Formats: sequence, structure tokens, C-alpha cells
Amino acid sequence: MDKKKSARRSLNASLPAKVFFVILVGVFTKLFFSCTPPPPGDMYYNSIGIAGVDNSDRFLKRNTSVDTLYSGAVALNLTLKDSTFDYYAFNLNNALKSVSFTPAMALSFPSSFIPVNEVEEIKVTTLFDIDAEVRAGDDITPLILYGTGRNFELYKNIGNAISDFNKTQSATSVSIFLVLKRPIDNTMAQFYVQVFLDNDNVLSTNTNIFTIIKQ
Amino acid sequence: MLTCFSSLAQKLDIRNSEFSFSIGTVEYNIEKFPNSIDMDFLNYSNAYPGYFDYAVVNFGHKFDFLSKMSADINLIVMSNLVPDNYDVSVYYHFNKVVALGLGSRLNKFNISYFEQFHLQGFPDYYLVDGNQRQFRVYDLGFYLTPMFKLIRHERFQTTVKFDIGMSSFSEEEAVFYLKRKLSNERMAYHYYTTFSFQPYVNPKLELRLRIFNINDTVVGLLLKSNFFYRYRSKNYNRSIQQWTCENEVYEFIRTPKHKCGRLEANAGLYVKW
Repeated sequence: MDKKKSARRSLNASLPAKVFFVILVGVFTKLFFSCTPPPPGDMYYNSIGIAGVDNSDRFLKRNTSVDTLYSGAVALNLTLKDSTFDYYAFNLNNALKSVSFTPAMALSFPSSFIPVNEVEEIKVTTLFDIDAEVRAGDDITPLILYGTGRNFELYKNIGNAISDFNKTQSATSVSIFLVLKRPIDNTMAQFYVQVFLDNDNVLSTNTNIFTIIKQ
Repeated sequence: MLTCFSSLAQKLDIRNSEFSFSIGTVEYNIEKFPNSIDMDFLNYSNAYPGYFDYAVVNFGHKFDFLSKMSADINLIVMSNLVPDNYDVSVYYHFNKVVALGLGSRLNKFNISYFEQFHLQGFPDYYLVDGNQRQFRVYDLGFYLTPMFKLIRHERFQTTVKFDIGMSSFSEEEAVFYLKRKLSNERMAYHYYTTFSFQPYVNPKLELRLRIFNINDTVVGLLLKSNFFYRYRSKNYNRSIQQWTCENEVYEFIRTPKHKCGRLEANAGLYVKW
């Protein structure tokens, strides 16, 4: 009997103390969830974009979009993205905020996304003659190399581009650079790019018609 | 620790200790050749040296030990104020005039601005990294040296040594990325210099002039000079990659031998007891 009374007495705190205690529990709960980085989200490649980029200078001008290219410096910026992802990410973030603080870190925590439908093949076709040997309609994928856009590295074969598209990504859209090894012996160029996904979808697009400056 | 050192010194019978401090100058004379199709790093040795690159500070410690042995330890500080050069030797004295020594030395020098080879040799290409390149090359040598105490006057002593040895440059690595102008073409040149011992000679002259003494402690003027000479090449392995990493051409490049001279002269004080 005495034990029950003493237990009640110990719980008999004042109202502000109880409110403070509840707030404290809430804060620590939110803090606990905030400590965990968000899990990788799923992404579905459903959009393709392609643009010409200037690679004639010392460094690739990765943020430019040009319609005139040097014959030996034909480079394309190929972008695959999940166009629905922005809306999803926005809502995921709001949902997280309701149960936790936005993670506070010295650097913003990079989100990660796993492509659900993987790229199986990239195919580039020229729509104009490149020279006497490579004619309009030819598959020029073997003449294409892949670059990440970093200046202190060499190009890679197109197979590396496929594996880079399929790895966990840090953004909703993924850009790579495709460069043509062979100089174009023509005044115009245009390319048709197809990306084959493992769900049998094919993302395809034409480039602009490029004016070619011969060296 | 001190007790251990003291007991070791007693066992070795260390005597006639001498500490010296000297300041001097060093001059390199490395033969340069016109550029060929392959990089020759020695063409860029000590290019555009700064004023203090010629300065050298020498801390020396000599002592006799056992019955007929002596040691000569020299720590050399250059313009970067790091004591990373040395010359250490031990001698067996046949008599009061002649001794035979065994030693090791480490000297450094700079190979600078060798990116110029690619800038000048590949005018159709951009050098992606336009920064100045420099190797701090260490030259590690081992030598045998006869020593002659030519003048052994109470006030004035002259010692001559004639080092004959083998030395090698330290291994270095450099990478150059090239990008052809108005083209997609990229290339990478990787250089890996190799470790190889080549012969050298290094005659040395030391003059000591006693200024005064307090009891058994002698303070004097020290003048030292040495001339390091050899024919030397800096060979390397080179890989050239064009467009992609897969297209690699790997070669061992043997560069021509250069006449290399290094004249050093120091003046300072010694304290002997």
C-alpha cells in the first residue's frame, strides 16, 4: 500500500513539467529519425535529351548547347531522366519533415536513386553522310566514345556509359558526353540516338542539325 | 637512454670529437641537350633556380672510435631548411696519414618546368593541366674513399678524400593529359622514372686552421670543398594512351648520358675537444 502511494507521489509532477517532458520526448524522436539518411529512391528513365556541346577547346564546355561544331570535335550531351521524380522527391521530403527534422549536416546529404529499368544498349545513327565511307542511316555507335566530362581522364568505350547509367545515381537526371572519333567530312550533321531499356522501352531522339566547320 | 648512449660511447672509446658548422654555396652544372622526340628530364634540372637554391648549410660531427676508426657525419640543409641531405662515412686508419672509408650520401636537386617539353613538342595539343611541374629528386649514393691527411701541423691540417661510388636518382612519376586543338582527341603520357645505380667520383678537400684554444678545447676555421662528377641519365618507363585507357603503348626509354657536375664550397667554424 505504501509502495503504491510513493509511486503515485513520484509521478505527481506539475503540468508544465509534464508538457516539457512530452516535448522533450517528441524532439528526441524527431532527432532519432533525422539521423538516418533517406534510403535510395527508385527512378525510372522515361525522358531523353540530347544537345551538341563544344569540345574544341582545352576543356569540354559541358554547360553549353551549340549548333555549330568543328568537324573533329563533334560532341553530344546525352541526358536520361525520370521526369516524374521531381514531384516525388518534393513529397518525400515533406513526408520526412513531418516525422523528423531535415537532416542538418556540414554538407548537404546527397540523395541517391536506383534506376529500376536499366539501360541495355545505346545506339547512334547518323542522318547525314559523315564521309565517303560512313553514309546517312549508318550505325555509328562503334565510332562513339563516352566521356564523363571530367578533364583529367580519357574517354571510355560506350559499354562503360551503359554501366554508369545503371548504377545508383545522385540526381534525378544523368548526363554523359558522347564524342565522335572520326572527323566529319560534310557541312551538316545530325544524329538519331536510341537508348534501349530492359523493359523493352526505347527512348529515342534526334539532335538538331549541326553546321560543321571543316578544319 | 643517456646512460645507454654513455655506456656505448665508453665501449666504443669515442674521442677527439669535433662539431662544425659551415655555410656555403653549391653550383650545379648539368649538360643540356636539344629536345628530342622523347622527354629527357635532366634537360630541366635546376631550371630557373632561385637565389637561395645555391645556399647550403652544413652541420658536421667527427670523432674517433675504437683504436683505428673514425666517423664523419654531415647533415646538409638547403634552401627549404629541411636537413634532408647527408654525407656519412666511417674510416679505418692504416697510419696517421692514410685511411680508407666507406660511406653514403644523399643529395637533392630539382627538375623543374618539364611540362615545357609537351608545350613545345606538341603545338597542336593543349596541355590540360597548365601548372608548372617539379620533381624534387634525391640522389642516393654509396662510396669507397681513400683519405689522406696531407698536412698535420698543430695549427693547420689538410685532408683530401677521393670518393668513388655508385648513386641513383629516386623514382618519380608524372602524368600529362593532352587534348588536341579543335578535336575530340585526348592523350595521356605517364612517366615512371626508374632506380638505377651509375658510377661517380667526388674528390673532397678540407682545411682546418686553429684560431684559439681553451684548455683542451680547440676552436678553428674550417674550409671545405667537394666536386661531384659523373655521366648520368634518367631513364624511365613511359605509357602513352590515346583516346581511351585501352589503347596503351608501353616503352622503356633510355635517355642520353649528361655530364653532371656539382661544386660545393663551405666556410665555417669547428670546435674540437
